[in-house]
Amino acid sequence: MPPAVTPSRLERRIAALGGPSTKTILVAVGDSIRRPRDASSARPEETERALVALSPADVSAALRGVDTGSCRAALARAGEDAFEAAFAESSEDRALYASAALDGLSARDAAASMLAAGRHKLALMRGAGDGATATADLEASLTELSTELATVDAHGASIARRLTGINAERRAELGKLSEDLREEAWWYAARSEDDALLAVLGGEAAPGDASAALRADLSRSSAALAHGAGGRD
Amino acid sequence: MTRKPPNSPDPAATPAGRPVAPGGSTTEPLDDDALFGRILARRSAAQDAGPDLGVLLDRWRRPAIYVIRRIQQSYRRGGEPDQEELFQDAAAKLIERGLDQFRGTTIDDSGAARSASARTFFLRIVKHTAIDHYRRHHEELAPASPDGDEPEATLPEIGQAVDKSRRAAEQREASETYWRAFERLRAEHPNEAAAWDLYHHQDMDDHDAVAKALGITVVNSYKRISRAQAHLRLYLLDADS
Repeated sequence: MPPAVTPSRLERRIAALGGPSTKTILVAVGDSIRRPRDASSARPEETERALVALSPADVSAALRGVDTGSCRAALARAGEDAFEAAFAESSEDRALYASAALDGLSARDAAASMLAAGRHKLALMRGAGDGATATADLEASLTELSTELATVDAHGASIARRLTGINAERRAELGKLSEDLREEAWWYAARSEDDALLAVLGGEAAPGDASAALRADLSRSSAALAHGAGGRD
Repeated sequence: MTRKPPNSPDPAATPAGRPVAPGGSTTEPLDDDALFGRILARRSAAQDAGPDLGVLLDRWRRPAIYVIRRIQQSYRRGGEPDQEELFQDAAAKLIERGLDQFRGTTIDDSGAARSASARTFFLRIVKHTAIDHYRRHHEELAPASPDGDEPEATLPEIGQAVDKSRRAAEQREASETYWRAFERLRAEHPNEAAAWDLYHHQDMDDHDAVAKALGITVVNSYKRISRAQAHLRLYLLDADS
């Protein structure tokens, strides 16, 4: 009987993402690049081997296949689920909503990982001496995806306020990321210290030691709210 | 016509809020509306209603302070010392004018009459007392008008007019923004919108009444209002960004 072959970390990650395809390989590789110290991340040699094995045309096609519309919708749903988690009536409900919200964020995070893997592929090609003609299409697909994701992220500030409902989970995810990539991962980072935001906006908690950003939010929403909550116009 | 037994206790001499059962023992305290009815009856009979009023005001102090605190938050002014003063002002208004005005109904925004509890009636007085106080305070803090010594000083007058017009435009815009946000709340979270509507737009400043109207618990009423406020602030911030 042949000895059992233990799957590598990358193989395990790819299997967890649904089995091998250009997309899942890029996500798994990108995850490992962005979370170098995470125990489940693959080693750099392994991720490079996987990227070299992919053709530039397949990588470009996968990048162009990212459904940014679904990504936008998943983020909005994640915001709603995080809001529900903040106001959940039991710890079981909270856990369910928090888990659903994190799932929603994983779509945006996967797109960031594909972008990171695609950029690494481009760097490897340039390092191997490939010229501008060979890398042009990959470069273009990376630019297109970056631009589309920028439009998805345009409502980041608005969604981030709702995401504060799962700040503990977001901070845990943020901590796994390479430090230099944390700020751009706004879906985990933005307002991740404003734990009381939703309770304060809902009037369930006093502003107390609220952050400057939360005070600004309160101030910006108070004038109009007074027309319904305090005024009798 | 039945006569009162000669040895029956004087209602004014019993602990306020407690009716006297046959045999002289006191029973459960009267509810707010019954007690309020007795106060009105005593007043019309020129009897002392003071002890009953004291009991009622004591019962209503907590919700009244809550209403005042909300108005303070809306205007971003005032503190705890104001709360007691405003509560006393509202109580004085109730005694001076409100008792004669209470008809057991209130007029909603559409002009229709709705039945109102005595407590809701008092909390409306509290709300309007606090709003008037902070509006007046706000106007006192607004730029002072020029001294009357210079009747030809038209520039400051123009400045004031421009300022007034700008403030009015800001008010209009804030109002429109608010109603757009409320429409969104109604579309996306109708349960929260219904509770908010009763509590804030229809002057039902009382979670008991909101809970009764919607067939939910008082705790649920608090929760729905809180969720509604969080949603509304988020919508207002969405619109602002």
